[in-house]
Amino acid sequence: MTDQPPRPRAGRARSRAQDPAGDRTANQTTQQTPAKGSTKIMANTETALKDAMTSIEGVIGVALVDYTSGMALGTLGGGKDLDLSVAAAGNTDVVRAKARTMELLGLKDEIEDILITLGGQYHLIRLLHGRGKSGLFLYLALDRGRANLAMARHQLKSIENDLEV
Amino acid sequence: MSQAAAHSPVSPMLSRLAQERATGVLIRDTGTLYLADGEVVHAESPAAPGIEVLLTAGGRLSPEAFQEAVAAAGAECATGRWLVEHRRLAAGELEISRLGALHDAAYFVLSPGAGGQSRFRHGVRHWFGSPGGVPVAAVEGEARRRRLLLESLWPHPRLDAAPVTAARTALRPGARPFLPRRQAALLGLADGVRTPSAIAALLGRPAFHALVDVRRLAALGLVETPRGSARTPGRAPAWFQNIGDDPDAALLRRLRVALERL
Repeated sequence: MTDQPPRPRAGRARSRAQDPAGDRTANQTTQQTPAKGSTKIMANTETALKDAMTSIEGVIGVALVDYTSGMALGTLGGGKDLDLSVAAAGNTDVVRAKARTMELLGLKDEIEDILITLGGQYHLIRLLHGRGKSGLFLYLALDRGRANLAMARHQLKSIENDLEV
Repeated sequence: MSQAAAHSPVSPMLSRLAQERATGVLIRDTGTLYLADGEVVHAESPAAPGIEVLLTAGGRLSPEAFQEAVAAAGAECATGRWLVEHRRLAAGELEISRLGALHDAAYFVLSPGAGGQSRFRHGVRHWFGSPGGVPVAAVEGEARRRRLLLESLWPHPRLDAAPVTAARTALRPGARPFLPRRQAALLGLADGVRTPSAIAALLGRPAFHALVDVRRLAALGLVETPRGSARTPGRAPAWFQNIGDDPDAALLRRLRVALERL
């Protein structure tokens, strides 16, 4: 993000003029928002994954996954002990099975997250529900010895919100 | 598919363009790949709904809002950025839809059955705009993974391009097993005429999702599996090769597909 040159003033002014939101208060922050948004387009998911890696204690790896195709839209961490692309594709079956069971049971509710506890790790799957993001989940592998589960769930939620921006 | 074939590049020409860090559009008879600095920034295929369909058919954006964005920023190749700057879409959402549409179309563009000559037009950019590309190797790897996934679900590639026909068991009330909502929606549109791609466009979902669901339904015996020898997915007709020099060919092709669906 830092290597993006600042957008020229003319462009900024024009986009503000066209902005149908028509912010009458027109303070500095609302004027800056469009330009700021444009530099964020490039690395939005990457930033969210980086946030997860740095802010959550004990993270081994994190991935953003489309659960019908099994595609990892982004991965970070992992390493040789945990191939995140393989984990991403494999965990789509977990999500699918649970979603199907919920429909079968007629539960009118949504899955918020799924926790899998291993001897040495936690695997946390958080389904995204925002507009235009259904069908995606965040997958987080944590070191059980170092992680604070309650904190991790809370932080994962705020990272999901960041993705919406 | 042998192990060696699974790891060789799908298109040698594409690998060379990636090495040369080329910018432009690669045209194959299965669709087009847009490159910027040797990375894939966009893909289009007649078999996959375009990003405008994915964003509007699902109700995320009104067609008018999308038209407005194209009119305002299409000529500058900054449609996506315009949508974010005018708060029609969140930046993360745009990125996710763009990546989804890219890999969806690239799967068809890079299908190994693609024949005819590939050509490359230097300097062409896509009207949607291209913040951030995906390395060619990653796009090819994902297409390969998708092919293997379909193969593992139900190894009948003819299902991908054939009209979807509901099996008689699926039509008998009570005889049908429970189906998740999305598969049920797809089966509801299976009329023996529409292909998986056409159904995907109607539902506003990526075409590959429809391929996955069709294979799963066929494995359950709810969709007829076409018999006979394997046939490669439908190709664009020969005249398409002649319009390949026109940068708007992709648009014309989608228009033609849309007209055929009416």
